[in-house]
Amino acid sequence: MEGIFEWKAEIKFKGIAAEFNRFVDSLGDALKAGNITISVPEWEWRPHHLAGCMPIPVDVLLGEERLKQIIEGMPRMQIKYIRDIRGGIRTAHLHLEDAVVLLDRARFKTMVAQVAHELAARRVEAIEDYVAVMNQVGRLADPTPEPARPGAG
Amino acid sequence: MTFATAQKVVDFVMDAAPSGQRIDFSFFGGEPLLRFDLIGEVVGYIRKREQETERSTFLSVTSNGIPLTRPMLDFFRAENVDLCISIDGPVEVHDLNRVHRNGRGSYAEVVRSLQMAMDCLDAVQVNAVYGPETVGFLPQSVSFFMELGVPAIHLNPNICASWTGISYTELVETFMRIADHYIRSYQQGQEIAVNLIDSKLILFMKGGYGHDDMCGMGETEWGFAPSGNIYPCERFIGEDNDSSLCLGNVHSGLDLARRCSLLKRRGNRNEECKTCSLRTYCMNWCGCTNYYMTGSTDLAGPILCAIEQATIKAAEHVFVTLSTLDNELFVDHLMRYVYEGRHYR
Repeated sequence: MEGIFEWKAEIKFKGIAAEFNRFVDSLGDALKAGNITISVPEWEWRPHHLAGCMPIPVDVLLGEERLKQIIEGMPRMQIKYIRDIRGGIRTAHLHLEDAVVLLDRARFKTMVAQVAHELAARRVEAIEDYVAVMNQVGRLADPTPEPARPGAG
Repeated sequence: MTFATAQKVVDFVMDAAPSGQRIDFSFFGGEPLLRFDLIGEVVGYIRKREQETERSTFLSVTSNGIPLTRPMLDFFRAENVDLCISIDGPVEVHDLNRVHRNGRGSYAEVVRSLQMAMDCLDAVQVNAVYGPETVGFLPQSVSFFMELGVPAIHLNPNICASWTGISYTELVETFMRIADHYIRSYQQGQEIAVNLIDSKLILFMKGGYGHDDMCGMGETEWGFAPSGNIYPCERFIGEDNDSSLCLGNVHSGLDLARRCSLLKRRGNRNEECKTCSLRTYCMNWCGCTNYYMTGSTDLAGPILCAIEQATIKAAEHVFVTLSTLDNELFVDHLMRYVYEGRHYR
């Protein structure tokens, strides 16, 4: 009788989609037969240059509207929020149905530019508002009625 | 605090925190490193409870840096404990308030400890507290920290100080100068984070504070005195002698009636805020700040309003300028906020 042996590897696949599908099928068969187990690495999380602002889920940072922009052109994708998976993907990503979409830096940069544009457009309004609010705040700080001006009736 | 009380605190928090949510434990004082032995025991206990409950935790210590030693740093490194050192800025700013009992300034020792910590740990943060007498020095302090190579800077107002007589216009100018330092740092290829800027940058991306961001005092935030007394936030502990703020004790349990009464007084009820266009970016709901500034947890005072407006304007300036300048490091910095974060909320 043949002895049982163990083999462990990190696999990187390179090939066309049809070959990859065959490869996935064979992995699936081996998984069903109990020949393989899949594990993902654990990692230690550390805050990095974030000044007390902890890393946050990408869907929280970007909001639903911007997430929809990310999956534009992927009509079968639906956003669902899955929390607390201790998976092994370190790059920011979204779980969309059964697929994982990595947050593309170029697209993220476009979103940063959009936000900057919106902020710049709001500036004039904010400056006017600042004066109005400061006047209200001044009254809040000192609710004493202003003294009557000399000569006022 | 005794170890028995500390264990009760850990158990209380593990029970109170919503399942699936990471729990942050922060050691502060007074000076927490005076009881480094106890910190070691408590960290061991937290790790044990972590395993038992399958909870994920984040640990941090805020210290004045004076008692800091190399073995302590080795311990923090090994146990993944984050260190924040309280230093208010260069010597002329720091020694205004942070002095020994004999009046001698503590700057030299603190800077030495900070440099030792930066040599040993990956990410050391500094906590600079500013008051009415030092707020004008903030840009100078930020520049000083940048030169030291500190990557993460916390600037926190002294909420117990009397802020009367502060010029709002000067406050805005001061914060804009901080923004300019921030921008210059990114232009020079040095990534930094300043809490008051970064917190608003994130908000701009998010579109404003969400319900989960609001003050969690008495619900998701707690402070514990050495006696085991429970407070709704660490800033309420003070000398542990104000029973009106105490919500019970870890040995005898929570006073639920007091807790309910407190929870009803969260949020913001300023009429002025309802129509303010900046309200979605404003921390007018911070219970402890409001309490110390106005006497009510849900009523924001004028200085908070002024600080928040100045902060929002400064952060807006940073965001628009660095984005317009097409600064790649800035994009990386923002993106880092989502790196690895997906599974930890």
